[in-house]
Amino acid sequence: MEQDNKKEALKIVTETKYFTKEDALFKDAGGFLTWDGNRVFLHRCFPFEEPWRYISVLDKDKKEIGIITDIAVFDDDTQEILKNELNRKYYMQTIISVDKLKDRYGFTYWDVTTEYGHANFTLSDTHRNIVKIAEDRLMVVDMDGNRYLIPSVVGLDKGSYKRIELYL
Amino acid sequence: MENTTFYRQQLVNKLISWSCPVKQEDIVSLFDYDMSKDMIPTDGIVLLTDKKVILMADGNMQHEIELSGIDKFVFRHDVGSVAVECDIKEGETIVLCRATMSHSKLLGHMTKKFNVYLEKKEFSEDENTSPDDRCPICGTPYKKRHGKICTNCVSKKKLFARLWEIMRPHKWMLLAGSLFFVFSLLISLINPYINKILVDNYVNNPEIKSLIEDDKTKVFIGFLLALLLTLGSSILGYLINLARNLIMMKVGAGTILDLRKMVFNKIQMLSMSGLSKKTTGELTQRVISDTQEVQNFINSQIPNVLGLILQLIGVSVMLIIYDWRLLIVFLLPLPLTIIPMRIFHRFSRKIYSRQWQASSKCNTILHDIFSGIRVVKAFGTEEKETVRYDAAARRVRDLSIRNETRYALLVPFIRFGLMIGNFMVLYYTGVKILDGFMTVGEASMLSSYVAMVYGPINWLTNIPNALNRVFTSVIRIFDIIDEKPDMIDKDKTVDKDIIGEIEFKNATFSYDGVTDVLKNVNIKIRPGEMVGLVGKSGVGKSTLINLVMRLYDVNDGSIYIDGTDIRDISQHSLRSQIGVVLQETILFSGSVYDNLLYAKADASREEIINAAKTAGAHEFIMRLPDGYNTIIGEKGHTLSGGERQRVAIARALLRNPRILILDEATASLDTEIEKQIQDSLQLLIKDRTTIAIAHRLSTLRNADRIIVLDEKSVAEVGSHEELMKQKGIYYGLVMAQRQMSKMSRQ
Repeated sequence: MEQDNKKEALKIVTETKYFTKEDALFKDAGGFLTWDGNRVFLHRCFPFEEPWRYISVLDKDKKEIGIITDIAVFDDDTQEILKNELNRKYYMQTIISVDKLKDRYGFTYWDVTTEYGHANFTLSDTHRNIVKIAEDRLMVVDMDGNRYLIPSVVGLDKGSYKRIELYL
Repeated sequence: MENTTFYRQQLVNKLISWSCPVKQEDIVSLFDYDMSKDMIPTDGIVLLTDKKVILMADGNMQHEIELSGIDKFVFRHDVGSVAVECDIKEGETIVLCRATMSHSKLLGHMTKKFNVYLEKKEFSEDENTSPDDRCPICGTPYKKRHGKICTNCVSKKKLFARLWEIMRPHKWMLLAGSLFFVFSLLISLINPYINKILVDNYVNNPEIKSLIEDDKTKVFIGFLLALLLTLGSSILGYLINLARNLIMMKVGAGTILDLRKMVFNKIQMLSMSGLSKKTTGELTQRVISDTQEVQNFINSQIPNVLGLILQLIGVSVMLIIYDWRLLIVFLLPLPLTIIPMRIFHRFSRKIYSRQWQASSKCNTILHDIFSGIRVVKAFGTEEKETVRYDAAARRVRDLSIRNETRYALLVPFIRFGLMIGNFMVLYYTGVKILDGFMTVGEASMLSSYVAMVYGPINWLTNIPNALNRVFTSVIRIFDIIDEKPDMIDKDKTVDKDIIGEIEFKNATFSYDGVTDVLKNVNIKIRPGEMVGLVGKSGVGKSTLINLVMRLYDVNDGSIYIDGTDIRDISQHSLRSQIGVVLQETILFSGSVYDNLLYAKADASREEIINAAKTAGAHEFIMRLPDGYNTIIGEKGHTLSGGERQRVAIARALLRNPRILILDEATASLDTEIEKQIQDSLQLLIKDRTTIAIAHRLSTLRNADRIIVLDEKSVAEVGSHEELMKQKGIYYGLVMAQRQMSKMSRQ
C-alpha cells in the first residue's frame, strides 16, 4: 500500500503531458489564450534556442498542464494563435540597424531602426545587457527591461557593426 | 505632486486635442499606454471616471466598461511587455491594454490605485502616479542607479562644480601646487635659454678665440657660470617638481580619504530598501574604484593638463618675443598631430578593450573552476575544463599578439606625427640660420621649446576619455551622497526601554510599490510571548520580521511596540533591544571573541563564556587551538555551519534583547544539536518576546501561539492544539511533515 503511494507520487512528478494535434483546443479570446475553454499561459522552456518548441502550457494558477514539443504539430490556425500569444508575451523588437550610439558617463544611448521604425533607448552597464543568445544572435536589454533582438551580428551593416563592436 | 499634475495635464491636453467627450472634471484618474492588445504600437490613454473605465486609442474611443461590472483590475507582467486586464463579474476577462516595459512601473501602480478606487471609491494621487523616471528635458530615462541626474543633459559645468566641491577643503594646497607649477614652468623655460647662451657665446662663437686671447679668465668664468646655472636650474627644477608632486599627491590622497569616508558613511546610513537596489559589488566599486578614479584625475590629469596649458602659453610667449611667424609655423601642424592621435586613441581603446574582455573572461573561467573544483572532480570533467581554459587563454594570446603588432606598426607613425612641428620649426630656423638671421643657439633653444609642447600632446588627446571616466565616477559618487535616506528618524523620536509588546495594525508592505508582500496584517504579540511564524516559502515571514526590526517601513497601516508607533522610536534604541539570529549566519573575519563582542562591546569575559555555554558553543570553542581567540577566517569559513550558527546565537544572547527574532535559526543544525540548542533557547526566550520562523514545525512546539501566514496575510492564529483541531492550513502542514518523517524513517 505504502509502496503504491510512493509510486503514485513519483508518477505525478515525472509524468509529463505532451500536447498532440488532438489537443488543438487553443483559442484567442480577445488578447489572451484559452485551452478547452479555460485561460492558459505559455512559457518557453528554451526561449533563446527553441522559440517555437518546448513550450509549457500553464493554467491560471501557474500549474503546468503540459508541454507543446513543437507548435508545428498543430494545424495552421492553431499555430497562428500560439505564435500570437508567444509574441505578446515575449515582445521584442528587431533591430535592423544601429544608427547612432553614444557612450556617456557609464551609459550608452542608442538610436536604432526596428521593424516599427525609429527607436531610441538607453543601456546601463552595456556589456552585461547585451546578451549573446546564440553564436550570432544578440539580445539587447534596455534600462526599462525592454528587449531588442539583433538576429545576426554578421548580417548587420558595416556602420552598425562598428558602433556596437566595442561592447561585444 | 507637481509632477503628477504635470503628467495629468499633459494627458488631459491630449484628450482635448482628440476631442474626447468625457468632461475633465469627471476624470478621476488616467494613464497612458503604448500598445494595443494585439501588440500594435498605439498612442492610447485609459480613463477612470466614477462610473466607467474608458479606453482611448489614437484619438478614438475604443471601449468602455461600467465599473459596477468589474470585479478587479489585474496587472500582468510578461517577459517583454506588460498588460492591464479587467476581471468582469461574470468570471470573464477583458484585456484592456498592453505596453512596453517602459510603462511597467506606471501601469502596475495605476492598476493598484484603480483597484483601491473600485473598493473604496477613493483615489489618492501621489508622486508615484506619473512616470517620473524620465528626464523632463530630453525624455531619456533617469539612470536608476544614478537617481535623478540625467546624464544625457547634465552640464559639464555642474559636474566640475561638484568636483570642485570635493577638492575645496584642499584649496590652499592646490594653490601651492599650482604656484610650484608656474615655478617649474619658468625654470623649464630658462634652461633652453641658458643653453642658447652656452652655444652662442662659447661653443659656436666664431670670435671665441680672440676673446680668449683677450681675457682667458673672464671667458672661463662666464662659461663656468653658465654651466653652473644650467646645473642649478636643473636641481631647482627637480626640487620644485618634487614639492609639486608631493603636494598634489597629498591633495589626491586627502580627497580620496574624504570621499571614501563620505560614501561609506552614507551607504551605512541608507535603509535596506535603498541598499538592496544595489549589489555588494556595486557598492564596493563606489567606495574603492570610483573614488580612486577621482584621485587619479586630481593627481595626474589636472596637473598634466594644467602644465600643458601653461607650457603652451609660456612657449607661445617666448616664440612671439623671438619671431611671431614662428608661432604660426609651430601652431599650424598642431591639428595635424592631434587628429591622428585621436584616431589612434580610439583605435587602441577598442583593441585593448577587446583584449581586456578576453583576459577577464579567462579569469572568470579560472575562478569558476577553482571555486567549484569539487564539482569538477566529482563529475570527472577536468579534461573538458582544460580545453575550455586553453581556448580562452589562447584567445588572449592571439589578441595580444595581434594588438602588439598593430601597436608596434602604428607607433612610429604617431611619433612621426609628433615630430612634424619640430620639423617645421627646424626647417624655418634652418633657413633663417643659413640666411644669417639666427644663431645656432637660438635655433636649438626654439626647437627645445617646441619639443616641450609637442611631447605631452599625447595627454591632450586623451582628455575627453579621462573626463568621461571621472565624470562617470563623480556622478556615481554623488548619486550615493545625494540619496535621501527614506527612513530618517522623525524629529521627535524617543529612546525607549522596550517591554516587548508588538502590534501590527493593518500593516501593508510591498518591496517594489506594486506587488504587496503583506496586506492588512493584524497581529498582537504580548510581552514575553513566544510566537511561531509559519507558512509557505515566499509568503512574507521574513518580511514581517524585517518590519519589526524596521529595516523597512510599512506602506500602509502601522506597527506599534508597547503602544508606540515604531517610527517614533529612534532606530538605534529600537535595534539595540532586538536580538536576531538569521538562517544565514554572518560572522566577520576575526576571532570568535571579536565576533561575540560585536553584540556588546563591553561584555565581560564571564558574560561571554556564559552566552557561549547557553548557545552550546563553549564546548567546540574550547576544542579550537586558541580557544576564544581562534581566528575564524573570512565569514567564519573555518567553522562548520552548525558551529557558526551557535556563535551567532551566543552573539544574540549577549545583547540580552527584549525582543528576540529567530529566523530559521536552527535549520542548518542536525537534530541532536538542534534539540540541545532548543533547550538552551528555552532559557533564553524566558521573559522575552520571541518571534521564531521555522520550517521544521517540531521546533515550534514550545511556542505560546502560532501565526500562520497565507496569501499575504494572517490566516490562522492559535496554540498548536487549537490549530490542530481547526484542521486548517497548519494542520495540513503538520500532517505533511509527519508523513515525510515517517517515510524517511522507513
